[in-house]
Amino acid sequence: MRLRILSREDNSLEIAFGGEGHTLLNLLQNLLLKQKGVKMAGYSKPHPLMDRSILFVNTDGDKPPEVALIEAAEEGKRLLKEFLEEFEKAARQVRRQDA
Amino acid sequence: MGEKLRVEALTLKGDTLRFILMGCDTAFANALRRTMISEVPCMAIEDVFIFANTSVMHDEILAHRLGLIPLKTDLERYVLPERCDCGSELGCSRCRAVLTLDVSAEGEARTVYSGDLIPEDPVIRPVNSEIPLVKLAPGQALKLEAYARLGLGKVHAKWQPVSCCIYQQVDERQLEALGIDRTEGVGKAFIFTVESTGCLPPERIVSEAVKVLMGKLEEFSEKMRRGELMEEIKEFEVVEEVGRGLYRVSAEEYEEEEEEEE
Repeated sequence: MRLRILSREDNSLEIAFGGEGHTLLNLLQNLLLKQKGVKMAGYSKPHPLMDRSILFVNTDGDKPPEVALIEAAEEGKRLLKEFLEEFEKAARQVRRQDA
Repeated sequence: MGEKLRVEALTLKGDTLRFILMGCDTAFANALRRTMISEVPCMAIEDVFIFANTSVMHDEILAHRLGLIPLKTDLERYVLPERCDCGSELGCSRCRAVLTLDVSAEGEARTVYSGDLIPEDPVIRPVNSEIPLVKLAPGQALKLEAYARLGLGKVHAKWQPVSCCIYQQVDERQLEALGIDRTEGVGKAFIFTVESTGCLPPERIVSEAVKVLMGKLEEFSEKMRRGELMEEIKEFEVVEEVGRGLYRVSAEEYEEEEEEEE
């Protein structure tokens, strides 16, 4: 993963991701939009064959977009951890259905 | 947010795992699905050295068929070649496993099967030994050495650990029909079906996908914190990472073409 800031104005940030696509950016966008203080969040993949995507965040000014992004990543990690715990719990009582 | 994630009704049938994921958004379910398909590493044959091939099948077609054989994978002892520190083009014992094939048809015609491949490392062997590769006529012979490596599904479908990985969103009525208790009041619900090619157990593929996604988020948040935000971004990342001369299209070439058009 390579990151490059494309533009940084008042409360908005545009950042390019090298080597990432819909998998990560759609998740990040979703996590950002659920956050308080985030006015707008979106991403685009300028060309389907290129491995480069662009994420855009705009906040209301109470928190800088960088902080919103870090919080989104942390929330994502929390969700994944929760999922893994639940999944392993379910896996312990897995039902085999082999004929 | 606020809702609790829940995983229910895990069932396993052969290589197919089914479970119900509740209390998350579509984006989360989709990130999991996409990661399982394209970013969980598994073993596949990548380089083939052919010493003798008098069969009717061309070397490159045979190499392609060998590449598509699902192999049992050991993620503990092997690393992705690009993450291996050996730096060798042929790889070392940590980033490649060798399989050999030496078959000749004497007297009567015979079919060469995936089971004829002799693994150097007994763990890295074909999932199924009955995959036909080529039919040899009397007198024809095949002798080769195949190098299996870990890889990612986004580079080539032969490295996809799942033959099927889908989810279906279900409503309350369907959940009730499945006998799921809805008292906790969950949001969206998805039925996941994960079918492994046999390279890894399906539940392992799910936990590996979580690990991969977790790593990405960790890396991202670390880079944001440290302010590593002015890195060089090439136009064709994946293609260059493979770098075995087969797929290489460099960013420079692409830019030159654009200039000519102007």
